[in-house]
Amino acid sequence: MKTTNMPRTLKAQRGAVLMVSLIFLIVLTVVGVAAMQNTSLEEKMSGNVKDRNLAFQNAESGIREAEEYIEAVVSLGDFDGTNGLFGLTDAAPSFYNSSTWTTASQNVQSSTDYGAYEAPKYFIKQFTTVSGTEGALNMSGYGDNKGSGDVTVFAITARGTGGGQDTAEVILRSYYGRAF
Amino acid sequence: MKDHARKLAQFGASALTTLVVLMPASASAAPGALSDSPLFLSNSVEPNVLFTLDDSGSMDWGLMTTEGGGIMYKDGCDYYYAQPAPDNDYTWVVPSIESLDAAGVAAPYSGAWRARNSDYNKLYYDPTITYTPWPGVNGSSVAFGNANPTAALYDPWSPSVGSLDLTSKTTFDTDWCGDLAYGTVDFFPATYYKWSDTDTDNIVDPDDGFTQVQIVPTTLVYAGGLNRRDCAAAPVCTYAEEIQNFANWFTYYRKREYVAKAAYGQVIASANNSRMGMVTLHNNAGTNREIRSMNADPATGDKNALLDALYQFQSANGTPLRSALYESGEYLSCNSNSFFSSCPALSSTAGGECQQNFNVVMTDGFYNGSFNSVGNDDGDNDTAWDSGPTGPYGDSESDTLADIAMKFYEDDIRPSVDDKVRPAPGGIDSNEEQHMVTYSVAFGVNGTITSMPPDRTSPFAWPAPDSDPEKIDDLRHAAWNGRGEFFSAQNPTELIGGLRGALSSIQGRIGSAAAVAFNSGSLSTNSEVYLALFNSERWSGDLFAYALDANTGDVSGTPTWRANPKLTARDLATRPRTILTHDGSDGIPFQWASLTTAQKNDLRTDSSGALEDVVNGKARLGYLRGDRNCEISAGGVCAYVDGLDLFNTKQFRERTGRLGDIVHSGPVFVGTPESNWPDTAPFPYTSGDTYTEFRQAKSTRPGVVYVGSNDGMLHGFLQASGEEAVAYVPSMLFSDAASDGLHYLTEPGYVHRYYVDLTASIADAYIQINPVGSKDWRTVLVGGLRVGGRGLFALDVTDPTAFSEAGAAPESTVLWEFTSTDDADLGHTFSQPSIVPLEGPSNTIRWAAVFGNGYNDLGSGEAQLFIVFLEEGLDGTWSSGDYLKISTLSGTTSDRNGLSTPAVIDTDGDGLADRAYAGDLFGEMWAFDLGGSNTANWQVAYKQGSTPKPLFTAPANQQITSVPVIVRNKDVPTSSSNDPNTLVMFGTGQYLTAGDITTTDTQTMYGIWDSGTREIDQGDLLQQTIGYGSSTDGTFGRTITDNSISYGTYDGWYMNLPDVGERQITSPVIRGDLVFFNTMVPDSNPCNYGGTGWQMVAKWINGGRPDEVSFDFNNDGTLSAADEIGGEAAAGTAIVGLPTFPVNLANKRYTATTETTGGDTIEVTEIIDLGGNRTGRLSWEELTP
Repeated sequence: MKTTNMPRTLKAQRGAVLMVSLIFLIVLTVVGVAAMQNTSLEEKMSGNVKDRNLAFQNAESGIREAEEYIEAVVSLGDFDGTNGLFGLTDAAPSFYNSSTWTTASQNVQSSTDYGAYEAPKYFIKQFTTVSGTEGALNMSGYGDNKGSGDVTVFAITARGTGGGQDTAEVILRSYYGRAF
Repeated sequence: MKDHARKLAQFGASALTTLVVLMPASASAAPGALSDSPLFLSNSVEPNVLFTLDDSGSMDWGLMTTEGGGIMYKDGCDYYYAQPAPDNDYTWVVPSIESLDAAGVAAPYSGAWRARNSDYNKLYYDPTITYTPWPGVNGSSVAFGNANPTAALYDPWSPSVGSLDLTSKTTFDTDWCGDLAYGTVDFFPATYYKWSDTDTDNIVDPDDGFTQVQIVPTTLVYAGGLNRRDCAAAPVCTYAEEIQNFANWFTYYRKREYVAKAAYGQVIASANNSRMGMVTLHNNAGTNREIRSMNADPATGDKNALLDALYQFQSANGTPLRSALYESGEYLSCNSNSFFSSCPALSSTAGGECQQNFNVVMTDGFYNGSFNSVGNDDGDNDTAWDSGPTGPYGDSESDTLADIAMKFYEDDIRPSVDDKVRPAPGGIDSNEEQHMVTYSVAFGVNGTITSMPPDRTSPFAWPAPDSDPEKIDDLRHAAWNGRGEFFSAQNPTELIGGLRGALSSIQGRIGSAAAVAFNSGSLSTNSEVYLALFNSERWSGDLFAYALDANTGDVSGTPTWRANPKLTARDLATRPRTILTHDGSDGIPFQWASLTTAQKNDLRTDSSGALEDVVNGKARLGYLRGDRNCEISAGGVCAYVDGLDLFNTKQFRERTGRLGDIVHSGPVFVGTPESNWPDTAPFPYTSGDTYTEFRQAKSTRPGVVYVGSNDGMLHGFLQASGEEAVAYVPSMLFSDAASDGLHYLTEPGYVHRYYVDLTASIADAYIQINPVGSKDWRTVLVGGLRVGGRGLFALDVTDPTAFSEAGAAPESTVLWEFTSTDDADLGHTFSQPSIVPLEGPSNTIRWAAVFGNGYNDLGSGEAQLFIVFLEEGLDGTWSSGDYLKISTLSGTTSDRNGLSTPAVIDTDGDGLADRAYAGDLFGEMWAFDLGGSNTANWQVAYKQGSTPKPLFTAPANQQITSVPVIVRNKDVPTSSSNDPNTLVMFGTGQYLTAGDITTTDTQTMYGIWDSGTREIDQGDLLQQTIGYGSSTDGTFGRTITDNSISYGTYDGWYMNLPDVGERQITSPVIRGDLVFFNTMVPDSNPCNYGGTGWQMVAKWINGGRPDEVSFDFNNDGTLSAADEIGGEAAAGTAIVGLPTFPVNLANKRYTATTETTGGDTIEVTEIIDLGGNRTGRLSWEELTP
């Protein structure tokens, strides 16, 4: 009777490998899944960073384009509240109002999208006039300008987007002065 | 063919705005007599206009029908006249109906009635037309008057031929071919027939219905028409009116020859600024007349002689038109010819280089005679102006009229002189060699072609002139080849219209291209450029709006609108103009009921200075307000009534539109307020009063362009449409003296005078314009007259929608006038006011117009600065303290000085004016201290004891007539020892009197340091020298030395302008470290657009050349090393025509000149970018909601 339990025990121990294996498997699975989840999250995070960076660079590109436009323009006659150009007395649109960026007359869209979902858009508001390097001191009226050196300051607001729809959006504003 | 390239070395510069002369040492008073017309046009070249008239036998006929030959036939017999006369050259007169009745010939008398119906016989009396006597005087120097109905002359020139009593019956011997003779039956010669088109074929058939109308006392009323301006009750006429009109027709229009005399008489009588002559095919009466300059009065001089010749020519013989055209071309070419031995061309120095030649050919028939002198000139394709035989100009025929016209068009008819003929507008006539332009008029005859070819490039099959109608085609072909126009005149009205059309076309070609005004504000605030031009032929003006490309800076060549056509086409009945004036104390409508007695008397004054009826005054007022029906030869109804008086004589000066010439007055655009007044004290700072709020509130007001015109008004044109919004007649223009005042504008003998000729000054000011109101921001316009008068006017132009003649609007729009009556020291207002805020008591502001007294005053003769407070003239009177004047004590009544336009500056940055600089005719630059609130301290800045002393005095004969430009001297720190430490830059010279065109005194560009030192002269200044050179690609231009300056050692700099006669009379413009200025070199050769100019640039710190390339010298579109001369930046480039001041807009420089004819001929140059403080990217941020 004394010996009868041994084999039984041995016999009983014969399934431990499976159990251990299963447990290890579960553990490894959990670890693996966790690792995969982490990797996926990190991938999403880096994708988002990329999208945001793309959006940022696009917005910056929109600002650069607007600045080039300001540097080249000869007359402010087109700053009439349409086509994204707003004069001194025109009300500029709100940058966080989505219709600003979807209404063609309220913004200018670049021709190149630089890999973004849509090309950068911007609008320019003639902001104010400040004195720059002092020019002619003559006081003047309408239509009379002896060369004052006054600087016209523009507010440029540009929006860039990421690579996909609704992935990322960056809105930048710069103030830019030009002496005409 | 001499080369016509203009040599660069001839270029000089010139500007339009300007000045006066002054020679203090001279015995005559400075500045001398101001010119009454633009100096650059004073020698404008008169064209040669030769009339080649057909005096063949057919011109004597009294019939003009559509039958072959243009007369009437019956059974092979020819009839030539509808009225018997002893001087009829041919025999047969169509018999009267009464005669035919008596002889038993039944109605419709084989159509004999048609000879006395104007639908059939186009020459016959037409009751819907008013017949006027020939212009000018008869052989006894008595003006042709209304014919006497009881003794109507057969020939108005030769009363000895006899007369006919049109009021009683007469008789004559005639025959109706194949029927009996009917010489004994009486009939009324004053008879016409009305036609009814029974068979509705639009042809006057013999058997159509007809009604006899006898003009006899028993018939009281006659149907006339709305054009019967001689009938008080038009469209119906009384017996007296009708018989008078018929008598005028009988005497002056009965024959083809007479109609031609009337038509030519009208165009010659009204001609001016041209040289005219006349040749006929046969010279039957010895009446050919050499080309001579036309004086104004038809009753005297060469115009009278030409009219005399015209009225005496006699018609006889054949029609050798080709040889006549050829010989007349040879005459214009100064070659041997059958007409004259003289040469009609002007010498090269008198304008021969650009003189135009016109030949106006008229014929009533088909040419005959032999001719074989030119060959197939239009089909030999030997110049750029003709073509091959199948081209737009050529054919295979030789020796046609078209060949002759081509010969004298394509040949340089004056090979010995330079070729500078100006291309005509439209590109049709662009041959710069001297040439003959052919106009042709066919009177009563038709060709087979009914219109000109559609273009000048496609082949066109011109018919060979074999048949008679094809000879008329040849006449049309001649006008085509000769780059003129063809007129087909089928009745007297059309002949007159055709001739007038030809002359009008000629005038359009010679008078265009004149002056230009250019406005910087219109450039910077609006995508439009406004350009004013005038045509000296009839002194019409126009204001053009051109689109400006905001990105490229290009100015369009096609105007967005033109003010004159808009104003001329305006229906005054439905859209009356708003025209205001001033009655001495307040604004009033420019309407008869509102004018003062003195003003009415101006309008009632005739050319001799005598006072006429009230109704004449009303007619003149109507003319000035735009009614053109009373102009000589106008269409429409001229009728003014005052009680029992009637005015219906078309006697006023002809205009080509309602807008008069705009010469020196530049357009000024007023839209959204554009000043930058602060919102801090002493400026209004409380909510509702600030300038920022005013600017916002007025941002949507209609834009208006204001410009002064020499039609007597300042005009305001809506920017959106070009329609006139308002006009203002300054009351100082009224005068009842002869050849003066507004009535002078209506006189046919008008010779140009200036009226409103100064560029208006417009600015925003915070003033109280209503005695019971409060202060408010208003946009104020202050205008002057230059040579036009001694006075200024101020208008409130804040709200363009408020302009009206009704109610209180005139009073509120017109603020005040300030004239030499208020202060005799005010001269001709050449000085453009500055509207500025000055310090008032207790930290307040007094807004004022600051200006020099101008030239040729009637007071002390001293140069004086006026400060007129805007609010003080509103009560209608100028009393002590309402205005200030600061005398320099320079000038006397025997040698008058005058202060030019001042520059007003703010030295301490508080927004208030505290100093002014202005030059005078004695070459002195004055500084005025306007600081502080105590007006007693507003004085000439520099004095020796109590004697005012100038800042600077230029050498003799250097007048300062332009406004200086002021900058801070950045080389020296501002301190109490050098206050105000400014540089005052200006040029010298004058361009005001006829003598100024040829003066050659050396003139100079100055930069003077105002550092508290007075009486600086040229010896205290550093000299820079202008030289000449070429870029590597051969562009010729100017350099300037770059001597360094040490302020303290020198009190500034100067550079002499080296071209002979060169001067600078326009304001310099600052751009960063550079000063841009344009100079002018007047040229007395009238073919040189008044002269030439230089567009200059220099560093303002020392007057030296720019350190780096600063403008596109070689005109290749970029600034590069190719824009250097000898390795140094170029400093000047030549320009053709007298330039205005430079307008810098971003990196473009715009300069208009006397050569500018449209937006795309404004000179545009790339210039250096303007950087400086606060430019580029100022800040950056990311926005998150």
